[in-house]
Amino acid sequence: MYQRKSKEAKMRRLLGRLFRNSRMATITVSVVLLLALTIGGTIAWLSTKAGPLVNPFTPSKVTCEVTEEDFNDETGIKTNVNVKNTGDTEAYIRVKLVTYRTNDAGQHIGGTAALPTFTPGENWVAYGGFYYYTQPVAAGASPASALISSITLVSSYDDADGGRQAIDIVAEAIQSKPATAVGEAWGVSITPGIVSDYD
Amino acid sequence: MKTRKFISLVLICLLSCAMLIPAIPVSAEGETPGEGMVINKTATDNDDGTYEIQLEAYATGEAIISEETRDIPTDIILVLDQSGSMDYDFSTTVFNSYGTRTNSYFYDRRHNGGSNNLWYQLDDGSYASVSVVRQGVSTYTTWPANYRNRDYYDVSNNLWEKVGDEYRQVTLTREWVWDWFNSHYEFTYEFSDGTSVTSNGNDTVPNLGSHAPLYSAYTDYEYTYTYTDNNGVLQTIGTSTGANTNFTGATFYERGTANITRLAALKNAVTTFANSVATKAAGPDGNLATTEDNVNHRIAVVGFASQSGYGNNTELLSISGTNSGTVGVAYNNITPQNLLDVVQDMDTTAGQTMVTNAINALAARGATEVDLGMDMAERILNANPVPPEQERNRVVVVFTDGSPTRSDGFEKDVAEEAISIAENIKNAGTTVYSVGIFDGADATSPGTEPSGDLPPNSSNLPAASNWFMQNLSSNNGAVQDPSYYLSAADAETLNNIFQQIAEQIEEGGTTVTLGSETIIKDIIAPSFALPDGATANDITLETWKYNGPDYGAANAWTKNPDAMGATAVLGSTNPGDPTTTNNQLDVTGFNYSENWAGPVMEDGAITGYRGHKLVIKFTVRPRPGFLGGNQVFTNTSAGVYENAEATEPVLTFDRPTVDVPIQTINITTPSENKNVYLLQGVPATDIHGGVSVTIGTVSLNLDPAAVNWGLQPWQNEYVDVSVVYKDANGDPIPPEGLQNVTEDTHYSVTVTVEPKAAGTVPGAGVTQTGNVSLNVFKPELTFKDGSVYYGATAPTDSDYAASLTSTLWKHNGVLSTDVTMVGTAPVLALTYTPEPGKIVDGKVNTKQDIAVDATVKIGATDVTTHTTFLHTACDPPCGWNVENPDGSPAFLLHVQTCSLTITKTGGAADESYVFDVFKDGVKYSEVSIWGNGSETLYELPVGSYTIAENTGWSWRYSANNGGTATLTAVNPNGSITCSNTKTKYSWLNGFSEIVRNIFAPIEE
Repeated sequence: MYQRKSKEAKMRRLLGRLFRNSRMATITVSVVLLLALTIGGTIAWLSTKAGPLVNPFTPSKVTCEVTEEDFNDETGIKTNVNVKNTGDTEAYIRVKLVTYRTNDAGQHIGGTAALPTFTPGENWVAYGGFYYYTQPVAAGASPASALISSITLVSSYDDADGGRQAIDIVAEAIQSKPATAVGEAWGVSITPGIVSDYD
Repeated sequence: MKTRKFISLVLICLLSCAMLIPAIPVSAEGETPGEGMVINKTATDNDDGTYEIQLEAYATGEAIISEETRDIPTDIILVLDQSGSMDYDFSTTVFNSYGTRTNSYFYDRRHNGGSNNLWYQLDDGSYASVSVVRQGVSTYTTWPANYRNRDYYDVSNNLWEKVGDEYRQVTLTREWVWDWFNSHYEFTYEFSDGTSVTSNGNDTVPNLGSHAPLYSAYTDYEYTYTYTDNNGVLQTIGTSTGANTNFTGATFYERGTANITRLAALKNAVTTFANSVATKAAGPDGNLATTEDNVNHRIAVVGFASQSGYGNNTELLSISGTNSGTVGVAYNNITPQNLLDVVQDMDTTAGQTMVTNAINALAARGATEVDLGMDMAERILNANPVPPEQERNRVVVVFTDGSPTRSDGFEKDVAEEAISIAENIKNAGTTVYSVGIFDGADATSPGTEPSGDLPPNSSNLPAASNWFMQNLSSNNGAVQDPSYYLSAADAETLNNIFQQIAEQIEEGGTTVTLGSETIIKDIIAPSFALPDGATANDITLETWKYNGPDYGAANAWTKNPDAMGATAVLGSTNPGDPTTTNNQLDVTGFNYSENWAGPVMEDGAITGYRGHKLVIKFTVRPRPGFLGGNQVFTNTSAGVYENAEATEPVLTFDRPTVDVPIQTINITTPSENKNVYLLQGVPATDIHGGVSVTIGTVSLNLDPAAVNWGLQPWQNEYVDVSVVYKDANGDPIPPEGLQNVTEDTHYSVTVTVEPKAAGTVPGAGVTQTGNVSLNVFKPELTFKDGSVYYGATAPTDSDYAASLTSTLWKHNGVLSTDVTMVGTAPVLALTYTPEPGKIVDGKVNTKQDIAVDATVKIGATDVTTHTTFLHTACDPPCGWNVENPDGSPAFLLHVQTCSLTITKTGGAADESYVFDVFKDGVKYSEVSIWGNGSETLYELPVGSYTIAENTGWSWRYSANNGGTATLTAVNPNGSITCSNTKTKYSWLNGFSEIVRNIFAPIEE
């Protein structure tokens, strides 16, 4: 699934209507509540990565989305690439830039492609092939500065492989506390302006 | 060496002539003042294509004819030039062995198109020029039995099968057969009988059935060495194969020149001459001691240069003295006794020794005062007159190497004085021969009388000297044949004359009586024949009564009414040979003895005239097939024979000649043009093909192997026939034929028949020319596009050659297979050149079409511009169907690409995953996949592909990155699946969706 801003809002509204109108949703909530009462305890479910798990008791979530301005495929310029913490918990954010080539039909083709040179925004640190924002980002917030203010893609390669440059932007958010979360998951320690290997 | 021999032969010839000329005296005993027999023969042109032959004979004595054939003693005065210029170099021809050499070496020196210096020594010691003919000879060797399709394909230009005793070319083509599971090459072997065998796969050994085995051909040259013998017959010396093979079948020689002084050449020649005279003087037994048969030949040697000083080189030499060592009396000191003593008897040892000493005393110094030499000769002759009771011939031989002069150049008064003395000598009955060995000496040239003296560097010196020599000799100023003025250029002719004269010198004598048994025998020359159906009745026999007194006066003879017993018989000299039918006429029955013609004497006074003569007349016409010419002898021989048993004539008639017109030449050329392949032509053996030449009714055999155009020698004995082939530029076609033709052209054949001798038939003869046109068939090549894969190994020549689908030879749209061709189609060698930059390091380095240029050669010659390039459109159309006349490009290689699909499994549906893609172990691309999706990479080059998931990103999982996808032309589409296993369950995280930034597709 790939992000398309105009479709996203539409999809959310559709899911919201489905959920409100569904009797199945009511029954599910009741069953879960009954099971929780039977167990007799409150368990905080701390992870959201184990499949379609739902914790009706701790709706805390860590999610993010890439924000940007539209790619100008006439100039090949991409601007204001940032990430928004769309979860409800303070989180650290990192970004992976995947670059490759496409043909005139937009198909992924072979050929090496190097990331165009750009200067990451303040508090963004490139480390181990990723770009880390080194300040926790509050829920609903975005880093104070964009990762990429402007980047220009190669519009035409003149070697045998040919084609044009493409960049996929993916981002990940992870709970900012405790620090071991980042350390165990990403293998790094993050302090403002610094990313290092996690010991 | 040759020069010495030449001069020797000249001298020997002169001596022999001198001895022979009086050796046919005709004398008759009788009561009349006349002696011997008078015979005469004439030939008259009737201006109607026939000629009247008339022979007449009568005796002027009482029919006793004495033939004297013994050698006549001869006095020979050698007047030899010993001027300073006799020290100059004189060129002589030498032959040196080449030793062992290769055929190629000898071929370059052949006389039929080479440098003309290859000679072969004949048994008689002479040298014959050698021609060498070279022709290609192929040898065939079987290809290995385990040869696979790919092996044969690599040598597809050299595949042959044996059919009977012939080797025929096999055509091998291959085509790529695409199959989902088993793509392969399909090889097709096409044979000359129209059948074919198909075999699949590069490594398959084809089953060729009865066509096996296949052969390779190797062509080498075979060299044939020949010469033409004295009879005009082509003789083969030997054959040898291989340009680099040493020819060992014979020893060949190189002709060159060497120098000796003119004086040395003269000494050697005169010594040989003197020795020959000495041999003849010894008589038939060759023994001087037995004096009965000795012949008293005598020689006197004088040398001339300047009158005095300069060594006093004008002197009597064959005499004891002190002027030149132990011999010689200087010109100014000559006494009357010296003029007697200088003459040496060659039938004595003392005389021979003195002559030898005289020759050895020759020394070069001084001018060229020929007049002084002639003066000494005249004085010697006058001092030694022929006694009345003796018969003796007298000859003066004058040798000189330069112009008559007292200093240098040409002094006319010296020349005139010498000529004046020579006239005195000749008028006294002495024959004068002049021998010139100066530059420009030419006995066939009358020369030019100079108006005065000429300087030494005058270009007119040769002409003036030739004039002098002609007038000095018994030629008396006019060119004669045989000539009394001889030059180096006449060496071979003189040799032949000497041989003929030597054979006629006989011993002893006979006495015959010419009565009614006497036969006049006339043998008609092969060039002529009696009219068709002629018999002996057509021979007119007349007798005429002698009225006196002048035999040549018109009224000296009165025709008798009958033949007085004379009869004619026709016969053949060689029965069975149609050219000799009725070629011999025998007339007998007339008694010459009884009918001798002359005055009747009584008491010393003429009281009347008596006798008769026989006149024979008949008509001849040129024999059909005779080509004509000037000065054509009408008979082979005609003579008077004592009787039917006599084998040798008592008297021989002169051989009259007539001029016979040359017939019209007709040349017929082929009705259709000749068809040849590009860069070929018409070999010498075929140049005459389709051409026919007739001269009158005679057809010439134009085959180069034919001797004398297929004519009998008598047919063109008096004309030179030449057939010259020339190319369109008018250049003669070489012996190898017309070669390397690139455009339509023609060649001409010109036939010329020229009379050998001067006469009423114009010297230019008759000439006719015809043209033969040539069509040049050129290659037409049809190509189709091919395909290659991006990144694959570059195509080989055989891969390129697969795009050549058709090779035809055409001329103006006509196929070579629809006409008769000269020769066989040459092998085309094609070279393919892909578009620059698209093949890098032996790999296909582009995804774009590759234009391929084709270059066509025949042997080492580029014939691309002579080639038509056609192109078969792709199906479906590829959009390119250009037919470039220069083959640039001839076709395209469409580049195919591979694809790789990367599939992710085992992951979460709402997470992103990132991969590195490696080609041949080197990172080649990056891929991001959402959830358990897949992504396909297109336009990939062939190679081995792997992926590596970025587990730093998908940190909850361990990854199985699948295996290797090897993408090839056979399997261009591959896939790799990465399976994840979740290993970490802690911590809350979340991923954004993948935001892709790609350029918008370009609409075509």
